[in-house]
Amino acid sequence: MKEMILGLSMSLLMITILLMIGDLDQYKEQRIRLKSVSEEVAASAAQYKTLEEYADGYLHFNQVEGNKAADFTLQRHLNLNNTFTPQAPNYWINTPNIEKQITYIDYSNYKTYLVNPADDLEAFPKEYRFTHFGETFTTWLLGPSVVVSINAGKPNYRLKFLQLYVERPEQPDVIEHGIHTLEE
Amino acid sequence: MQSYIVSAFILIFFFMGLGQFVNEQQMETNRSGFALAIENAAQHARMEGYFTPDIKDDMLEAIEDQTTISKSEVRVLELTETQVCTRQGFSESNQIHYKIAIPIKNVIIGASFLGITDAENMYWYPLQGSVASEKICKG
Repeated sequence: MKEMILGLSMSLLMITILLMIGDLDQYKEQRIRLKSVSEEVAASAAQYKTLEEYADGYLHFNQVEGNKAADFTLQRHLNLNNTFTPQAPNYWINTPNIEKQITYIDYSNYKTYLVNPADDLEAFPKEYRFTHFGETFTTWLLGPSVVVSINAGKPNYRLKFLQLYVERPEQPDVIEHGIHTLEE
Repeated sequence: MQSYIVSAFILIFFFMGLGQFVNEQQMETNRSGFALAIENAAQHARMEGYFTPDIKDDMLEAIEDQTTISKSEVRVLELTETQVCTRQGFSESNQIHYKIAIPIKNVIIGASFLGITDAENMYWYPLQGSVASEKICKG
């Protein structure tokens, strides 16, 4: 009987450890995927520029078209519907809405070296502080850039105690950032 | 003798746990290798405006190289194989779509010992996305 109890408890412990390893691996994998999706969204938003300013030698992003492209890319890559609700099969199925924040930084914000070398402080490369989802980040931008952050909600674990731990309000959401820079 | 039998039985479970751990790593390698192959192919397709037969073949070769899944098992659910051109504004018609799935087999190790069939012991892992075409067409 002693061996039986010991053996059963050992198997239970092993199943818990295995599930935990599997859960954490899956979480890591999905975070890497989310990172590549955020970069893809940033790249798709950076494609469109306003033609009049571009003819004058300034690159200004066309934010209306860029936002449309970013929304579409995000919906396609993460399998979301029009209101950004995840559709099965999806790792983020427990999240009601996947949110994104997007910032465009171009020559309407900073000038170039070529136009006016005296305005050195106002030119690229520039250390830029941006605030997305209440968190502030500092990054070096070498040229006109699009910064995208995706908030995917809480991780999805199979183990109940892990899931209850991450669902507490003080635990942070899964947020990934992607930057696409157009260097000229 | 009794403890012998019990410990022999427990030992089987113990080794199954160890094997399952290795199996998880294997499945993860398959999934990440697959994602890498798909994303590379999509970036190539962006330049050409569609998944050319060469890009598609290279993609399937890359999946075969980077995972333990053979080319014939890959399920291509959706792939843009006609050329689309870039435009000034955003339009869904200048997007290149892909949706490809691979089978992840042997999810649980020693499944036949536990009475699980091969068909129950696998799942399809799909990846989908869209990239905008960068091909400039004349005329």
